[in-house]
Amino acid sequence: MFDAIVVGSGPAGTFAAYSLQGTNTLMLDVGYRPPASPGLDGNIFKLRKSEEDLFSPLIGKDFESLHNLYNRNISLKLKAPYLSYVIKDWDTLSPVKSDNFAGVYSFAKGGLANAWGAGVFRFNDSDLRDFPVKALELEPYYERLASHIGICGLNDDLEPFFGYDDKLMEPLRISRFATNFLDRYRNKRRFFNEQGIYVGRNRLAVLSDDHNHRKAYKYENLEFFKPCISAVYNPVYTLDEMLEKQTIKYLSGYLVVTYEEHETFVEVKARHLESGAVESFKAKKLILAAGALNTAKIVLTSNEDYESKLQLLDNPIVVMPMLRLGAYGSELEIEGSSLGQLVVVYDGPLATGSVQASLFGTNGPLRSDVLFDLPLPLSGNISLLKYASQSTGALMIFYPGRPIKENYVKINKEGAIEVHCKDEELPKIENVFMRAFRKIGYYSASFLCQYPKMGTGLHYAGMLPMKETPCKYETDKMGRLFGTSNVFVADGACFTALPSKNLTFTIMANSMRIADFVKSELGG
Amino acid sequence: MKFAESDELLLEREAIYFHYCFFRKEELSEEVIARYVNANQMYLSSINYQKINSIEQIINRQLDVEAIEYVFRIINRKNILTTKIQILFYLIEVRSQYFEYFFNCRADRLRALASFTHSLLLAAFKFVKGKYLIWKYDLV
Repeated sequence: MFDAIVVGSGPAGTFAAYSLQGTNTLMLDVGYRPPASPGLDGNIFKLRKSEEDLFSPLIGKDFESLHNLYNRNISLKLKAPYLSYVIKDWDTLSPVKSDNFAGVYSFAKGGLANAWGAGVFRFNDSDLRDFPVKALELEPYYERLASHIGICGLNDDLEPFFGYDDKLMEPLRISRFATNFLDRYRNKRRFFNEQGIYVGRNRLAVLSDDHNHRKAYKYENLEFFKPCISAVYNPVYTLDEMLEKQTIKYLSGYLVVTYEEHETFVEVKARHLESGAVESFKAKKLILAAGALNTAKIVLTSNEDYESKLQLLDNPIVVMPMLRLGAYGSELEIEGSSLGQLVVVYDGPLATGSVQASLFGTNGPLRSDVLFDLPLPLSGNISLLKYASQSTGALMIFYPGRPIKENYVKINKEGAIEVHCKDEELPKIENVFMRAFRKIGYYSASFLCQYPKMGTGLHYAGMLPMKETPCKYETDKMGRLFGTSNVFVADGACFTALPSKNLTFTIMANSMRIADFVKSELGG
Repeated sequence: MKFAESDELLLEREAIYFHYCFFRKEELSEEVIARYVNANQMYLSSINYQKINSIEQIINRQLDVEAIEYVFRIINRKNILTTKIQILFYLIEVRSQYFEYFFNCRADRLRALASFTHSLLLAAFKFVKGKYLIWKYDLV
């Protein structure tokens, strides 16, 4: 019998296991791994200019990059041939039924963090006001994580929202577009701050210097095509270190179906995907970290509950393109990054809780992904994209996720997760941004904004929320599931609220905190 | 499902003609043609070419595919003609031969603005022409 079983190898699962080193811990995981990625060694634009044909790495022998032409739209990053493993089999291993939910999840080793934007932000007490946990309790875990994974950024105008961090590495170089934007903001800082708008450098789990056997970032702009870029943190690196040191056991190819708690142990039933056989594993403690939706499904299935509705929190997002006319016709910036360049925070009277946005460039995806969505005949669109790409950016705005009665998940007897959600009325902070940014020569318009479906942001949470005094399908402050003694929830499912900040860093920290507690109960 | 030789030939002619309309100066590689055929066979095998007459008519009559596609795209973004041309564009943009069509390698604001102005004027012309061609040949 094991001391603990951890289900899932994403950010939550990996850092639960990290805290549990020194105990006899088993991680159960489906664990798809990336393929080899030949043909993508070097800067993407230099490769595209010099290599006669990049069909395999950029389109794929099964035409993976054409996915959105015939299937439900997924993130442009997730359809690249070498990245499609991240969501492999997601809809067959754990189907979702929904009319209006665009989320996906991952059965890859490392989870959705294999394709994340690497934004890492500490939750402060304002973000945690609905949680039974205070920022001070998460602080030591944020510190340990920061030392372990390496974070670049700056203590700047966004320090009140992200906290002071004396361990930050130098921030990454940003694009000409972002540099100009930041400079103009700084020149009119007082005006912006009076509007409740603050702009600063992103905090990224990306190395600007070599760190812990990983090399610094090389500005090759490969994020849309290549997995496991060493400088961009991936939980797989930590997991592989633990496996090499043999501090945890790891079994891949298993899909956890249910658990059952006995007096002194928890029995986990998992289907071995290759043979189809259901196998049983026993441990004193169980930590569920399979991703919020799948964790919720495991809990409901284990309770044979096909009726209960669990709340779903999700960040509604808005994509606001911006154009700087003065840069129209600029030459391609060969060295760069597809990661978020800057962060913009709105903290004003129109929103409850701050609203956070990331500014991205437009060089990442294939041109054909966007060419046919522009308003001109094709030759005009080619020309427009060619000359405008260095003068455009996309501001991705994340609104806080609010508990709405119509937003919930449940399971049905066929084994599918049913997701019900309704588009909510948003306070239109993008209009505030548009009016303000016009003053510094950055233009946008309401009709250009896109309002993707719920789930697109991949930040769902809240199905089994932490409460001071939990009741059914809630967890206590240490993630223990109500009605159990030895079942814990460590991923986003246990989040009580969903601020607009990226939640991954806090998932990792909270998971470490919960696992530390579990370890203390084990007597470790 | 085995494709009829005639369907494969039609797909090859599509690739060649569509490519010619947009990249007149470039030679289309056999590899791209084969991939275009494969992609269509994988994902667009259910098209009823008797019901959707536009593609064969466009090729046989050497019609302005850019104008027709533009109007179809305005009416329905997911129409078959746009999807087929998008497939072709995915296949050619990953070849170095076409790099400078898609990426601006030198700063030239004047050229960029002139190109944009030309594109706007062209849009109006192509729209009217596309509508006319669709009406004249009863394209679906």
